[in-house]
Amino acid sequence: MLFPDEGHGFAKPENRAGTLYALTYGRPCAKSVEPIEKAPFFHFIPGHRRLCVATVGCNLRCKYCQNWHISQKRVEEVKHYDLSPEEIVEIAKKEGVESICFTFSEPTAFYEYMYDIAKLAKENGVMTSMVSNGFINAEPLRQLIKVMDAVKIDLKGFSESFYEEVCFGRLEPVLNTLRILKEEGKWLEIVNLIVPPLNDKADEIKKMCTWIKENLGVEVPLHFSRFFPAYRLTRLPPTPISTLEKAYEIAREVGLNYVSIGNVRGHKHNSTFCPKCGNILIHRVGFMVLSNNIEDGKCRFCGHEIPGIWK
Amino acid sequence: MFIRRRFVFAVLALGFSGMVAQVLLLREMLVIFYGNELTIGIILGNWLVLEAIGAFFLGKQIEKIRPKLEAFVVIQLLISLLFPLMIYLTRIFKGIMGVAVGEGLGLLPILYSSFLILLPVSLLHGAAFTFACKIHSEITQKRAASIGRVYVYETLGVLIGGVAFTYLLIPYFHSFQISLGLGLLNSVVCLGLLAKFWQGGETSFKKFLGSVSVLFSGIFLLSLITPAADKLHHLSLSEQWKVGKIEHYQNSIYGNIVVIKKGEQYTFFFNGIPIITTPLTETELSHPRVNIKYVDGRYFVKKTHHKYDVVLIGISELSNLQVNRLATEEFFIMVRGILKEKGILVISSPGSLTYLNKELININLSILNTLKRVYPWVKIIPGDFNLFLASISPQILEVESSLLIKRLGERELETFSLTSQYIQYRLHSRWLDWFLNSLARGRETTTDTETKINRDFHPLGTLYSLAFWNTLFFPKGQKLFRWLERMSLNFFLIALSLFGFLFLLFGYKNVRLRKGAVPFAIISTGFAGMLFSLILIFAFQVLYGYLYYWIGLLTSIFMAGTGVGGLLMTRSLEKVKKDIFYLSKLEASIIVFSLLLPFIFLGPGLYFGEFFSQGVFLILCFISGLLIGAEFPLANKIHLKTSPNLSGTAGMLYAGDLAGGWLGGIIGGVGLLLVLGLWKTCLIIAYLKIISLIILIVLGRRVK
Repeated sequence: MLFPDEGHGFAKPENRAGTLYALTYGRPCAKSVEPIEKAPFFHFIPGHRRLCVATVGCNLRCKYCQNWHISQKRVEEVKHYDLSPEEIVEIAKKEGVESICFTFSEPTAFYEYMYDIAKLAKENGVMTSMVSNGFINAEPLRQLIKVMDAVKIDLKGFSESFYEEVCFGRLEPVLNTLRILKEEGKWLEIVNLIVPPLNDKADEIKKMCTWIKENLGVEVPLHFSRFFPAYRLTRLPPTPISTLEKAYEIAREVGLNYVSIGNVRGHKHNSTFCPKCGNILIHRVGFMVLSNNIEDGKCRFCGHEIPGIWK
Repeated sequence: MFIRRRFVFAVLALGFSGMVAQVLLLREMLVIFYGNELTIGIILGNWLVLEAIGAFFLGKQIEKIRPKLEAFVVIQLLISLLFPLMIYLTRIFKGIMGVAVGEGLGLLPILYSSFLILLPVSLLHGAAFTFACKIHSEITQKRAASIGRVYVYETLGVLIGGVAFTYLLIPYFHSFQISLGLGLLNSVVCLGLLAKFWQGGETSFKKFLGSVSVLFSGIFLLSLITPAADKLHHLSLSEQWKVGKIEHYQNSIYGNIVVIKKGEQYTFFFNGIPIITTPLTETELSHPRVNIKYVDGRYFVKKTHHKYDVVLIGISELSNLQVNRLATEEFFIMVRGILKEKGILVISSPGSLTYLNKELININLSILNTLKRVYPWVKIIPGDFNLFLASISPQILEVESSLLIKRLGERELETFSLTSQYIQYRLHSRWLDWFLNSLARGRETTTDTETKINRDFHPLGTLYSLAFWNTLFFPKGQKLFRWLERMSLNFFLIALSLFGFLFLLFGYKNVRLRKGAVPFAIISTGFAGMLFSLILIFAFQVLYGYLYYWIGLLTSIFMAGTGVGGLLMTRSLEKVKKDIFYLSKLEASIIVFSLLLPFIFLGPGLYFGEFFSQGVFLILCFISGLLIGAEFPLANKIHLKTSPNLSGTAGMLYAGDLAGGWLGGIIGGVGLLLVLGLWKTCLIIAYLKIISLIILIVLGRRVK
């Protein structure tokens, strides 16, 4: 893991006589069954239910974190369950979910726990995914993704100043994470939460989209998400929908094929469209799937191959 | 004689300026501190402590300065210059502190940022008081009486300032026009004091000051008659509001309103808090079934004769008393009176579907328990914002997804967002099970159903919201808030008793400590005075909601009371022979007042009619000020007998009075009033004054 500074982050393990102990191991504070689209994952078995698991902790301190109640806390400050990796997988099987998703806080903050659960899940035929800030070193990342089916990375902004001032982190390691995920051929989706006036500049969004196209390819789904006041940034208005639509246009002009708008329930771009024929592939309202026109990984209308994990 | 009259006018202007500066800066700070009235206690407290420092430390320097009148003029000119600068600074302060656009502030930054903003003006204002006492005593050759008289003139200026501010200034002028106008007034006053400074026999320093006064007068006048003041105003606003384009800016009687446009979206900010975000659509707003009433919600509920099917209380957090009063037991009872038989009250609270921390649990339990006190049936829909639906009809419990989906279909309503899948997801029983389990896990004791009731005069909703707010910015302070929540009346009574006992024990043998009996009486009276002010301010806000408009008036009436009390006492000083006995009677009066005050809140006067009820508030402010103000000159007379240095005594007791006020503002505003409620806070005041009275009687009489 990366810790930007001494004293920053809430995910530090305990050092006992030279050995680091992960205090979060076996102590999730949040678990719930939710639709996969809520992550958001739009190209990962649409409509399936996932078991979401999280412990406390995060190695960033984003000022608008929606789950700050757990991400910015220490183990002793929060009520938790005591569940071994085996028990988590049992719960997943009992609930009949198709995947386990490590989310809410920063899953790399409970790396060892996540890794053990994911490994066990794979052995039991349960798929795995992770929703992360991507602020992790290369070696543990490569190790981790061997047991992950899908990864969603929050690309919070596209400037070092935004990452430093708003998230207390750095951009470059996140970009590195994205490159590695591409290199390893892991299914990847990206979310960019637009927070006006902090990271909504059109030129910055264009730079980001261009970088994605050049480094990751046009097939990586990019979700622009609407900001709502949270944590310390409660005195800002929500993102105007026109700002999100402008970002969508920029991304499409750059050439990205799969762009969506999130947190605006009922918006046309909650849905996925075929980049070739323009027909609606997956009709969504918010995170509810209303219809699915992908058959065997192809557009039902024109046969165009749609990247993703469909079963 | 001429100089004496001009000097009296200068002291009146000093009081006027101080009042206006204080309230104007307070109103500006309420916006950057997001409308939380508890910060009024912090702001007023900081003002007082800075005045105390100015009065005592800077003020004492007057003894060493030869051109005393000129020194007073320097202070006045500095205040004139600094006041508009402080307005500007207030608006851009968060940017200077490195606070991100849209980021809130914790209590600690509020404490020190208000301290820094107020520092220049209040420090100088405090020093000016002590300077004025000394100059007046040299002009009139009366020592003890000078302090009393200057106190009276200054508070008279405060009264005029409060009335003028409320009725003449803020309805018609913005902050820069007012501050620059004040600058003009003070510059002209300085010219009057320096009269004929250009004459040959005058010192070069006096001539220099005279020229500066002329220059300042000219600059301030020009800024008012040209667009300069407006330009300053708009420039500072654009620095303050970087979130978008300002479409509208207004100071209503309830608070500051700013409408920001970004994209197609309009966001309405009230005292810095975004409350509605919407694209404005003429069609909806001008629909015949839509009636917009620009009136306080609570007042509307009280006055309306209609009955309603649904009352939606559109608040998101109970972070201030103005909002909290819409979520109290008393208000829920009022709403029940205007609901039809199967009518529903809906209120929301902050929530989470991931994890509920202790603070969130307290807020939600408070709302839930308070609702259950009034409505037999409450349905909860958990979410990122929890919805509470309350009714006197059990039919509310039948609100399930299947019913809503059926009705959507029957009415053939086309919706984009509220689809059947979403309704099923949102109303799924697993969320409610999780929510109730979380509440159960977070409960500390089985008495949770009885406690946490949010009431008008015991605003636990605001306390819990403040505790929640604190976890965002100062998580280490969580323990303090949790300790505060457990605080009881007994703790304070025991602590005060212990203090009193130790004071008596050591004071009996120690002469210096014995001499502290009178200063302690003044400090505790200052504490009581601030708490009386805050109690009346808070009660006014709870009952009427437009404290933002009346804050100047309420504060100035209180100060007028202190002035009149001071004046009556000053005139009687020569006649009063048994000083300690008389001071003890005043102490006893404060005790009786604090014990009677709670009963007045429930008195019929408060419900007779608005005019009469507001009159009651003004009378209470005046009486409390009267009792507080009467003590000051008498205490000075007593203390001067053992410590003859006039400026030292004036400065020390003034500083003591203000320091007590500061403590009252910090402890009372943030602690006592929320934790114990108004009733028990009055009891604390009474008990503190009982301790003070005992110390005065036992030790004060032994001082020679």
